[in-house]
Amino acid sequence: MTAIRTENLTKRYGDVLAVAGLDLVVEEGEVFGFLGPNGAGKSTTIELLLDYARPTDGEARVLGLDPRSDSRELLRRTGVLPEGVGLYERLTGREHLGIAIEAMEADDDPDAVLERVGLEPEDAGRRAGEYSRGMAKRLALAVALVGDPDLLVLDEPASGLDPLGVRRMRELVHEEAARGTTVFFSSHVLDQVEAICDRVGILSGGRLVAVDTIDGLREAEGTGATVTLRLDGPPSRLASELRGMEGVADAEITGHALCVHCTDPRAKARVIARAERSAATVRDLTVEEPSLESLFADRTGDTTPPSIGRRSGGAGGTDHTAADVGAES
Amino acid sequence: MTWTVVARKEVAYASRSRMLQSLGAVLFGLIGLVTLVVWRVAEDPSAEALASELGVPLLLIVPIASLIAGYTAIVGERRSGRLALLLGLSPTRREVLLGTFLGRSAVVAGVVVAAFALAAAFSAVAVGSVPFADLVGLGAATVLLALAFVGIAVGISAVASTRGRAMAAAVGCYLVFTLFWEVIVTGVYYAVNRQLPGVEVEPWFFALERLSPMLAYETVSNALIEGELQSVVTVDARPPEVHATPFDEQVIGEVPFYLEPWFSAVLLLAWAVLPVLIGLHRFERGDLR
Repeated sequence: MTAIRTENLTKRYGDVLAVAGLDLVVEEGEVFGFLGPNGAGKSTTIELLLDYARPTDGEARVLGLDPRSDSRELLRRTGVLPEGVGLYERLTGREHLGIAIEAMEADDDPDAVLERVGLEPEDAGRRAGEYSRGMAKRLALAVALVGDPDLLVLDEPASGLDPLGVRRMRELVHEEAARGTTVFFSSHVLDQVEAICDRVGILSGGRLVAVDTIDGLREAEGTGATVTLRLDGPPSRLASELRGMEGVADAEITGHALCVHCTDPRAKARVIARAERSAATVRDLTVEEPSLESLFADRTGDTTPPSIGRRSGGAGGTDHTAADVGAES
Repeated sequence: MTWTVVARKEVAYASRSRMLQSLGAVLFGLIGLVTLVVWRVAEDPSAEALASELGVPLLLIVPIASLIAGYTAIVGERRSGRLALLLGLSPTRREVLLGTFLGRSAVVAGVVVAAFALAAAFSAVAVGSVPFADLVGLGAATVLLALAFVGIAVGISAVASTRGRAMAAAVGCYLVFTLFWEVIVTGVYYAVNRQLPGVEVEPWFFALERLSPMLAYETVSNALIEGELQSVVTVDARPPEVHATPFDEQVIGEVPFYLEPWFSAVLLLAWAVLPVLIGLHRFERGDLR
């Protein structure tokens, strides 16, 4: 069953078209990242899915339900972390969860949920008005998790969190996904999206300009990874060997370093294997994955992309894929 | 039912507001003080005098406290992002609005009842007896007054786009009903009859007067207590003989049903309910932002 399906979903505010004819499908159990620059319409789309706003045209079905007429049932089964969510500053963290548990007719243990999001028991007894921004975000996330939702809708979940908080968020998403929860979250930070999503949709100017897996998007973009080898001796012979390999576009020599441009992700491993078998000794190795930065910039017409592309690696070499990238930038 | 969850949340949240706590304390203090003064210091202490004098702090504070309690009910939650949190927990918009209105009303009503309990206690201590009938009657009328103004404020809150606008509208309401109402009604009378209202006046003039929750409250209270509330009406265009003339002689013709005190009680309830319903209509239709 599809968790989210929209058909020509449109929202107009006056003469501003916030969301234009969105056709989106999110499968049950998926982790779907909704990407786009600020103002692209991500939050508006989320509002339309939850009946926080009414569409001007088109329709949305979430968990098979109509957001407006079935709103109570839908929200019972959904955990929501809205952007700019507010807390009751005079109520304690535990009281917030008490309200959530009662409203969702759940039987969660408040302290267990708070522990999941990384809030200390003594914080649970303090008023939410005293919370730091990160703690407030965690509490809001705890509220969203109450009632074991079938669907988690998170709008910019990592904003305001320190790197540890971002990692905890990522782990939570993994945990929920492992339980079969569909996770739909929006972000304008590519790194977060790359790390955990099954599929990614790119929204720009209210329109969906790309939907695919991370690898699919990379392949479509055509730019492959770059493997940089630092060698002991002159690399010219290795270079010509590598140039002939399948999936290798070019091998540039700079002193003792060799930059191998691969068009096929699988070629990276072959390049490294060949290099290690060759006469020259490999001193160091770096693999630069193409981040979604260029794709993002292209598709959204941005000349200044919102986040930096990533490097990773170390002595001995690391061949990595999107799934196990966990390094904080 | 989720509106009870919302209402209880609202009671906990609103009752911890420093602003409301301060207003409550002021009301308490004034009620207590007036009670003691009437019984100990006044020349002619009596239940009549007590009820009459209590009218002053009540009319001054209860409407303002109720408006303040209510004007952020929706718009404040909307702008702060708390409404987004609450709606995500599955209450419908209707439940949110009604639960919020009930919760905030309960807090204000609770303060009013407690203040009257204080007056009763002070009376018992000061003179050994409690003027139950008067205090209960005045207390009930005051609760209705509080509900009316909380309703007005919540209705404003559901419709206003920013807290500033809601506050301006609430302040405007307060000024209209306390300062300008008599002027407006007298002006209308003059426009229709080309003369100021005299001792004897057509019933519609009074009906118009009593549309104001303040005057409706005075009408209800005066029917329930021995004496008469000290009025806070500032402009009285009627001739001074009015004060010596009983009401049914002031009305030209028979006193119609809508000038009976029970109708004023109904009017107070209408002020509590109608703005909330209007606000609900807008709130249910619109977007969150």
